Amino acid sequence: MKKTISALTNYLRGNTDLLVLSVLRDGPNHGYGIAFEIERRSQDVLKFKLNTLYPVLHDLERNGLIVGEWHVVEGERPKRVYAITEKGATELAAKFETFQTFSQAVLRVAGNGHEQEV
Amino acid sequence: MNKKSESRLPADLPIALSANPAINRFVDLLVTPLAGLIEEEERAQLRAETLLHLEALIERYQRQGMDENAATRKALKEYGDADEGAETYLDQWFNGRQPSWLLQKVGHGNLVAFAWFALPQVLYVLLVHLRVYLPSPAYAIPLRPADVRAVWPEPLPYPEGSWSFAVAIGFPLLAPIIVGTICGWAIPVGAARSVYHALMPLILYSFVMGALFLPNTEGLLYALFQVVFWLPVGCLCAHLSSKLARKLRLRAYARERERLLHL
Repeated sequence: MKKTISALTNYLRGNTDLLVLSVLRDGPNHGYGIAFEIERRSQDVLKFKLNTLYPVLHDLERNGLIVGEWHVVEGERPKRVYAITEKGATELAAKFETFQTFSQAVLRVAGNGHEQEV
Repeated sequence: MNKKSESRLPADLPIALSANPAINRFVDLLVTPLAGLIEEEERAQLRAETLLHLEALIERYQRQGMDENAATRKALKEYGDADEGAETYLDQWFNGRQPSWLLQKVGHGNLVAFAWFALPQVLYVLLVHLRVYLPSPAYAIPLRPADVRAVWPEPLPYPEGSWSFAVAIGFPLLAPIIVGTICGWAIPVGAARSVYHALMPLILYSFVMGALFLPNTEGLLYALFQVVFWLPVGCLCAHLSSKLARKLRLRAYARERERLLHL
C-alpha cells in the first residue's frame, strides 16, 4: 500500500488544484481543513506533502479562483479561510470534465488488460 | 465571543512567532528564499498559515498520545522539506497559471531566457550576413599567411585586421556569459533549465543558417560553438547568478527580519 501511495504522489502533482477546488465547492475551509478533508474523502490514499498545498492555494487566490479571509475568534487559533469564487467554480467544472474524460479513457485502455489478467 | 474577519493578515500577527522554536526555524527556512520576489504581505500570510497549520498538526498528534517533541517531528515530516517548499512556491508563482496563452504553453522562465538569448542570436546572424555578403577588407596582419595558420588552424575563419572580425570572435565568447548571468538574475527558479530549453531552438536555427551560408563556414562554426560553449557556459552562468541573486535576497531579508523584531 505504501508503494501505491508514493506512486500516487506523481499523479497528485498536476491535480492538486482540482482537489482543492472540489473541497471548497462544498463550503469554505482553511488549509489544515482542506488537507484533512482530501485525506478523509480519499480514505487516506491521497496524502501529499503539505508544502505543495500552500503554493497551490496562493496561486488559486492570485488568479481569482478562490478568496482568502482571516477569521479571528477570541480564544481560538486564527485561521485563513478560503472560499471558491464564481470563476473558480467554472474552472472546476471544466477541469473535472477533462479529468473524467481522461481517467475513463485510461481505464478503458488499461482496465481491459487487467480484467483479463484477473 | 468576539469574532472578526479580515482579508489582510491580522495586525497582532505581524511575523507570527510560535512558542515552539522548531516551528519558528522551519517557517523561517520556508519564507526566507522568497524574500525580494514575493510581496511582504504574501510572505507574512504564508508564514502565519504554515505556522498555524503546524501547530494544529502538533496538537492533533499530542491528543493521540505523543509527547511534544515526537509530535513536532511528525508534523514537520508530514509538512515536507522547507527548502523544497520554498522552491515549489517560487515555481508556482513564476511558472504557474499565466495570463496569456503563450506564457502558459512555453513557460514564463523559458520565454524570458529565449527573449534574452534571441537578442545576441539576431545580432550575430546579422553580423555573419554582413561578413558573408560584404567584400572582405584588405589583408592587414603583419605576418605571413602560413605563420598565421600555424596558430589559428582551419576550419577557423582566416583572421583579418578588421573590427567585424574582432566582433565576430569576441561576441560569441562574451554573449553566453553576459546573457546567462542576466537570465539567472531574472529567473528565480530553474534558470539553467530555462536557458537550456531556450538555446535548443536557437542552436537548431544556427545550424540551418550555417548550412545556407556554405561554402562559407562561419555560420556552421558558430552553431558548433553554441553547442560546445554557449550551452554549458550559458547554463552555468544562469545557475551561478541565480544562486547569487538568492544569496543577496536572503541577506536583504535578514535585515528586514531584524527590523520587524525591533518594531
